[in-house]
Amino acid sequence: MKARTEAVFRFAAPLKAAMARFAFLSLVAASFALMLLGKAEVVVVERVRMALLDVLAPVFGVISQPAEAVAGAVGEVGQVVHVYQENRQLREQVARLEQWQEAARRLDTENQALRALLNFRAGPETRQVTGRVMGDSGGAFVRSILVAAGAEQGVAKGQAAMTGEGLVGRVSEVGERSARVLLITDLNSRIPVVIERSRERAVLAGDNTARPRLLYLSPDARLSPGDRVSTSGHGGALPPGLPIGVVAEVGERGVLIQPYADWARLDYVRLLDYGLTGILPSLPAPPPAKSSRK
Amino acid sequence: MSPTSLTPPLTLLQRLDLALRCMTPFVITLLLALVPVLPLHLPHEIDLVPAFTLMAVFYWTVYRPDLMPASAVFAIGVIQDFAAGAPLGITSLILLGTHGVVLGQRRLFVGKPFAMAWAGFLLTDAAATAVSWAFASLLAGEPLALGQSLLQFVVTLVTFPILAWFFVTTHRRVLARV
Repeated sequence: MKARTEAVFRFAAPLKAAMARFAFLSLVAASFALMLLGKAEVVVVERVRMALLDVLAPVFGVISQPAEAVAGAVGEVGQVVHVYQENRQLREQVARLEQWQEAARRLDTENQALRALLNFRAGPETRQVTGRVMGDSGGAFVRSILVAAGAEQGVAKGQAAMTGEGLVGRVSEVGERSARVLLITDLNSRIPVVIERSRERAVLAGDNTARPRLLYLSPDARLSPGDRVSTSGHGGALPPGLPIGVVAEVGERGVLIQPYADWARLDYVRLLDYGLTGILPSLPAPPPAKSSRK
Repeated sequence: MSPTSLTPPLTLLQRLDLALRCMTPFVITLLLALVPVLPLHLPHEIDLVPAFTLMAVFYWTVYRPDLMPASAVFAIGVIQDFAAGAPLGITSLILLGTHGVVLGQRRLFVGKPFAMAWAGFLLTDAAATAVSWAFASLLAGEPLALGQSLLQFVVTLVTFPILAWFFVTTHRRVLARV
């Protein structure tokens, strides 16, 4: 009996090792295959991503709450320290904003009167869905957030994601009850923008840092730090006029934009549905604009 | 030859208990794979978390390779990439590479002082950072900014002892007689 077991072991051990090596190499090959499939944006991969998003959504919904509580508690301690200073700043800000509110009311009345005079036809109605941010990606190579609103709530690929301050990104994947928003700082984000003061057009490109940069700016464009940047509406992917940020730096590294959005306080985002299909959804025949995104 | 012949057969509950204990390393690593996606509300500049799964795969491959097979490593990598919305395949490749290399060198670390394991992890972390940066750049079609990767390398290296302490505790509590 003992001799037989030993014989089996002598035969089985190398075989087992060979099997393990084969399995290991197959898994490495599978990783490479996944890389190619992911890069090629195969439909199957997108389906799996969506399905997994829905599976993970409730999990994140549950485990993100203690994480938020901890982050909130830490934040509150910091806030207590700064409460007096912040209060003074807020009072000043309220005083300033009241003047702006006055100006805005006056302009709104004037605008409506002028529109009535011109018989102006307003743009398409906007529908909006607000979703809780239940996850962000902490990797070094991707900038996206998970939002607790999905196809059931009317979220669709390509919709703009806004906070109160400005544009944060665009919906890139949609599950039934959750969606992923590709932030404007992500490497793959390309957004047609316009400089509000000079009406110069450019493309806002993320590079995974906090400040995305402007591409395809005309060489004689005159920019200065503080110029406001908003969406231009070109390409039909986003409506024009959504605020994005201000020019932070014009230098050797290009033109850097400081977004209005406060990334550390991304709790809720509004997803805006303008009924624009644009370049993002998987149309039967993708328009040529798609290749230039890559 | 086989130790099982000396012990009495296990009851169903004992088997279940054993199975659950054996799954602990995998389950812990899987949960760690989801941590980066949690909304931690960090400022954008430092919005990254240590490569927890790299530490977990390193630790369990060194100390309990029987409970961290290559298939589990692959699954963890795939799930992490899907959850983070990251380019697919990179994490599983990094983790498999770590698993493969560490498995061959584990005698250097088993039964040695912790500093040795930390030094080994330094090399692993450096290699993983370099390879993932290279592949991410390759998939993006342009060299990516190095800052984030380097920061993650340092953060991962510094947090390793904390996670290792957690793994050691789990190892002693849950897997002492498994």
